[in-house]
Amino acid sequence: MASNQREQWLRMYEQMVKIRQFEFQANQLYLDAKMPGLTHMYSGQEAVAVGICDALEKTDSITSTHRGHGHCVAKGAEFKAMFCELLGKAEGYCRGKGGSMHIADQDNGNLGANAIVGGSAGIATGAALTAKILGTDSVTVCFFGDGAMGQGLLYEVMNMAALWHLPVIYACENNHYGEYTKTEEMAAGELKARGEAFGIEAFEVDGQNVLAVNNLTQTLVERSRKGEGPFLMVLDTYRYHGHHVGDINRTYYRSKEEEAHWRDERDPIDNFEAHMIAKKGATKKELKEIRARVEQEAKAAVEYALQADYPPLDEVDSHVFAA
Amino acid sequence: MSHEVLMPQLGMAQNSAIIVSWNKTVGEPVTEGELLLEVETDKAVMEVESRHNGFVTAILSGAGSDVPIGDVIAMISASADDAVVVTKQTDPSTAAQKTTDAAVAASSATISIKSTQKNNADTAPAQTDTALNNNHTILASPKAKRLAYERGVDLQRLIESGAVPPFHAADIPRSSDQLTGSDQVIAMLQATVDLTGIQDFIEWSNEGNGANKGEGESSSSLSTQQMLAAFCASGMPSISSGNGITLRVTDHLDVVRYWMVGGTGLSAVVQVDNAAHWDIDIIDLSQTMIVDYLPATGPSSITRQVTLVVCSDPSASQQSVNLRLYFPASSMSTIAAANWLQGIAKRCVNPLLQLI
Amino acid sequence: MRSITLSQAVNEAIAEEMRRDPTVIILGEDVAEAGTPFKVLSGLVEEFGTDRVIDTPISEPGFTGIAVGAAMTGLRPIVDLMFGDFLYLVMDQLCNQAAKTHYMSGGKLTVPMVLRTNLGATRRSAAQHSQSLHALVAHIPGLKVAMPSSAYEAKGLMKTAIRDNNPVVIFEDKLMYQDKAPVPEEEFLIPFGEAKVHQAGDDITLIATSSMVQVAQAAARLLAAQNISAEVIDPRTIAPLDCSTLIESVKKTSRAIVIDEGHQQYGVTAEIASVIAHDAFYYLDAPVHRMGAMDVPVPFSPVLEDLTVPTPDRVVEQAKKLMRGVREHVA
Repeated sequence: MASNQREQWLRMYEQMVKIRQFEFQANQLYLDAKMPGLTHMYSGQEAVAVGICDALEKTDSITSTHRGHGHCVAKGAEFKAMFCELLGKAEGYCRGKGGSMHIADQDNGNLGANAIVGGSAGIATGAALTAKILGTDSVTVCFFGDGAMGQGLLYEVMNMAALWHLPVIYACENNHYGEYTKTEEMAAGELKARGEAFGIEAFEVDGQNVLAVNNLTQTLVERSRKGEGPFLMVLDTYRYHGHHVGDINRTYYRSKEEEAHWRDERDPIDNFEAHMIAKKGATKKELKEIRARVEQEAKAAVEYALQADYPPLDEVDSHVFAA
Repeated sequence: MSHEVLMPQLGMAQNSAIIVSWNKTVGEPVTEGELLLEVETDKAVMEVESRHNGFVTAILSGAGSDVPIGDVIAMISASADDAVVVTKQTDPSTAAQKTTDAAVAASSATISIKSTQKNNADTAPAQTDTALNNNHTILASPKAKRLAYERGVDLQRLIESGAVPPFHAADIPRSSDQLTGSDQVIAMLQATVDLTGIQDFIEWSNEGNGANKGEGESSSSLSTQQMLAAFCASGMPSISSGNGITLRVTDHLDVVRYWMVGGTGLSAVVQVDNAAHWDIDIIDLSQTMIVDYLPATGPSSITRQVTLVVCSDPSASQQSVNLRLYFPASSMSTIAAANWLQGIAKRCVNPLLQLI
Repeated sequence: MRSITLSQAVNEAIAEEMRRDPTVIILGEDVAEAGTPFKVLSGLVEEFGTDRVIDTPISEPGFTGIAVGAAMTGLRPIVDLMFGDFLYLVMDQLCNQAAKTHYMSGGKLTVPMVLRTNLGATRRSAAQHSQSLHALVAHIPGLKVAMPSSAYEAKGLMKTAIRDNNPVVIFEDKLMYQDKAPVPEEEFLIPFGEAKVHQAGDDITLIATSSMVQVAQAAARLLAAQNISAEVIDPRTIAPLDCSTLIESVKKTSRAIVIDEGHQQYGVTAEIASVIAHDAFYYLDAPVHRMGAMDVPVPFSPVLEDLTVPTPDRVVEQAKKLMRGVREHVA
């Protein structure tokens, strides 16, 4: 195996483990009532964020969603500043003003999570317009869920992106539930066809297979840079937790058997681990060490964030307007 | 090593949860993922699993307790030996009861404070009837009221002069002189009383009979001045604050004393070292050759100041004095002033009235 | 000094800024060859091309959202919203996204965009093309709101808006596009948050925005004939609002009428009146009077529509009522 491929596999593996670990710790913080507000867990969908973001450069942009921790980590964010933001601390990515649903990390090209379903579709398309007008060669990925397929804004901007050949990739993470309702009950027809109606090339991919996601994204990013965009990806995936952390009793909308099936048979991290070992890309020991190291990093970051200072009170009315 | 088990946050809008049952008792081993307890929120009963391996060494909130999220409800330790100590220290049911009692006590305390404040608020306005307050109830623009205040103009007198509210800035004279003239400012009432009654009372009281005396007061004796202060404070129609009445008393032309009157009894009349403001100015000339005194008048003295001049009556017996009450006509009505002076005079003649 | 129309002034401002800064673009319906229905942008596409003067589909939320993203990543877009009434369509993108991005990101992201739109009734356009909705956006922290009252203000405020690093909503009165005013040929900017005293006076302050400045000026002339001296003040931006100029004026005159074409209930007149009532309270010799648009949907029939907006006569009538406490003016 080529060393650069092994390197990439290990990198993607570690990023997926980081997301899983981040969400585990965030969930503990919530359960222990140490985190203000609530949060939406990305656990289970790691291969989507990591497979896509690994195909992007730092100068490429993403827009994210209310379920955005995974995108944020995958695009290069640090644990400490993320946990600080989740706890409303001054050292958070947004100085504690955004919280879980609004983490933005501009230095790594993350234009921000968005608490309005589908709300970032315009922003992603606008970022692609900037790239086209300024000729910067950068590509923007717009992450959104199957629920956002119900928002009209998405189709308005898809239409314009198609008319103007913008370098934007619409990545629909179909985790099969919009809040507490099955996607089939909310979306008529095929999700892929929503993009095809505008003449946008659309692809369906197994969102639990990080290599499949990554390979497709690499191709689409390259084509977007050549002005062949936009594209639509529909990624088949699953969220292990409820819609949000407090969504515990959810058998009324999905069965425990279904959840167990995805966890046991289709876990993106376990399956990738098995694949890597089978292909001699890594040893079991090596991967175990990665998991242990990431866990220690996450715990240390949580401890750090718990001890960190809240923002000074006089910041409440700063940043309303830019200078 | 011990781990705290916290009441988990399970719903979106949840502040606490009720413990339905414990699946473990103190001392029992527990493994990670094993059912530890069931809790009930407003929505449903949910199972809470243990996050640690070890022994349940303490259960701090029993079944039925409503526990805030994030509170420690149990301990899990590596060794079962810790159990006895911890459980002895804490009895969940009494701890919860104590909290409830404290909360009830705290809330009833708050209520009593509120009602006290309310009483103060209710009584305060009834005692105020000054010229400045007149300005509040007369219709005038904010600017007109401000100018009236700055220029010392009493809007009630403006009405008496024939002007019709609502007043605007243009209606307010440049100075109160234009409005009043100096002869209108001060009214005077006079009463003539015999002070024999006061002197007899003081004599009787200082022999140890006074009802006003309390412990530690035996060395102080009543004075005419103190009694006069008490009489003046009783039934005064207008005062500036709800905190009692302050009097300045000048006698022998140069000795100045200040008295505070906090209540009706004679013991409520206390001499103080100094005072920035006083409600009544008493000029006692009874021991001098001077037989009258007219307070200065003019724009700057158009205040709420009430002056009581005590002077000897050259035409009468030695015990007879004149009480002259000078008061701004704007600050109280003549009838109110007359009733008040009548009250003072009656008490001078028969001090026992003060004790009734 | 030369006089140009308000329409020309806006056009000049945008053209100058597009020449100065290559990141300035225009997005909107029929902004290119058509130059908008009011022909305000005519000629711009010829000079700057369709890459920078971009015709969009009829998708207001879509192109407003695109402008937000473009602004966050290095462009300075001007969104052309054909009618102010369409603001309702773009509220999420404007108020949830553009207005909050800088704050939510702890000051990291900025959204330097301009949304230019219009206001004003009496064009016989009925309820969905006649509204003056500036109070709606002025309520939202993070948005700046400019309201030019003449060609001069239109040019100076537009140039400032384009250079501002925040989302700015600028309302032009669609009945004033052909009104001429002296506008210097040399470059000038009008700072936000600085009211303009159009006319000094001693007896009453008339505070008026946008289209209502003309109404206030006409009323002031009528009042002068009756020996009442009115001061006319134009805030020019309602967010930020130049409170001190308004307060100082009312401290001098003791009376104020606030005139604005937005609906009166919960509107700009209420905000300004409360500022005056609070900070100039002890100087007021009469209640602060508000004159907004009547609280009804704008009717179509001309006889009805004309009743809904303040007129010079109605301002004069109110001013005289407020002057009643002053003896020398009472007839």
